[in-house]
Amino acid sequence: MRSDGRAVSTAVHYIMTLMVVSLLTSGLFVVTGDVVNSQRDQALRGGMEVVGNRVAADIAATDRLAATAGDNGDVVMKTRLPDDIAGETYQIRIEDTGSMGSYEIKVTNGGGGVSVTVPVRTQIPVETGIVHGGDIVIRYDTDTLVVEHA
Amino acid sequence: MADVTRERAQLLITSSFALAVLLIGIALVLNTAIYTENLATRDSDRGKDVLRLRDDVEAPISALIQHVNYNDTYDSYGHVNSEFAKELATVSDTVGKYGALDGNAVHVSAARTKGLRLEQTQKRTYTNASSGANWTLVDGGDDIEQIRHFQMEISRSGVASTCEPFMDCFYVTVANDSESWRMSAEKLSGNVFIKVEDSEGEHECGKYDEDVTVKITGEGIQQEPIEQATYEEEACKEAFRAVAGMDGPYEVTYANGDEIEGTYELSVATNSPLSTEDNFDDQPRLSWIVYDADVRVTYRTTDLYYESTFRVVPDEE
Repeated sequence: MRSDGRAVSTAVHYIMTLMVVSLLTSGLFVVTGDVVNSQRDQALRGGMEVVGNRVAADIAATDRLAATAGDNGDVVMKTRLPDDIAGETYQIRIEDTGSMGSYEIKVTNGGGGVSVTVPVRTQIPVETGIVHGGDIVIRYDTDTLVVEHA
Repeated sequence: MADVTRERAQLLITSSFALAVLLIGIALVLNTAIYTENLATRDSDRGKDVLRLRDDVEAPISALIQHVNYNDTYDSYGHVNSEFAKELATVSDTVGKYGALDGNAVHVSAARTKGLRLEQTQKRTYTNASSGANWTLVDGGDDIEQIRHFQMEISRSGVASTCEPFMDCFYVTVANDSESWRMSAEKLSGNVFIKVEDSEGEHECGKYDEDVTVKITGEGIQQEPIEQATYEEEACKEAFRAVAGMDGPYEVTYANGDEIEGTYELSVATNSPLSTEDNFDDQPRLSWIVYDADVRVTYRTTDLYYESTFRVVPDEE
């Protein structure tokens, strides 16, 4: 009788241990998984903001240089950008806001869930369009700034 | 019992594997964040070196043109041009070496415009080399489209006192096909009176008790007049602005040059000798100059190419 009770106790103890460990482990996964995902989203957004600002800064810099270069001048600026941000591809869209010399750099991830917009103002018109992530080139091409894939 | 032990180990392995994946995920996110920070803190004001380079080149080349032009009197353009080319090579080398220190390839070259300086450097009457008092410095037929740095130092003691302005007093005329601008100098009671005539009519441009410096293609008379009563300040300034803004081809003539004394100079852009060159010899004289330069600057790094051509004209006034 006494030895039966001891055997039951071992089995119950084992199952209990298994349950508690499983519970703790799955809890850990759920919580950290969420943390990782939210951190990843933040990193993605942060990365896209930086890329957008970088493109805007280089467009503005090319604009300033082109303004001093004159009609026969030539300016080509290469901007080194990551191929992906937080493991996601992205694209850069240049849009005309409609008001003179004012443009928006819209960076969108491949999934399309996150989008960041950075405004830029130039003296020389910028050609609107889309380029995919990775190194880009900003070129002063007869009175227009053109952004294209490097 | 042996089976139970194996199952417990499987749970442990699965859990630790999943934990490892989570840790790698966190590491990757951190890595992305670090890369983003790196990208964000890179120099965002690119091209400022290029803008500085342009200033660094423009001022020395302007000074270089001045230096070469005034360093000597040149009887041929080839002579002044080779002097300029020698000095320009030094500027280009220096700029190139400084660029190379930062890993940039910088090159400077300049296409020059031929020109002549017409000048009288010794104080004498404003007559030509053969003492003619009414003579032409620049003839309309020579198609001179650019004049700069036309200035006079009028000596008070040499200005005639019994004459009529724009009649028998000294006067200079700057004209093109449609407009004409004149300036006359006379002396009354020991003071110099300057009068200017433009399309608006005649203007009193002041009374002076000293030598008078006049920048004809610049800001006009440099001294303050001793009496404001007869000084038509605005009209005078406007008249000098008008002559500075006049289009070519220009004709510049002196009338009654024996009624004044002093020095003067003006520079013109021309490819060929002037038809009036017989009016010049030792004083007044002609000297070939580099009139201006179209400077071409190229700047190349791994990520930036910049090329610009700009005109450098020293002291265009």
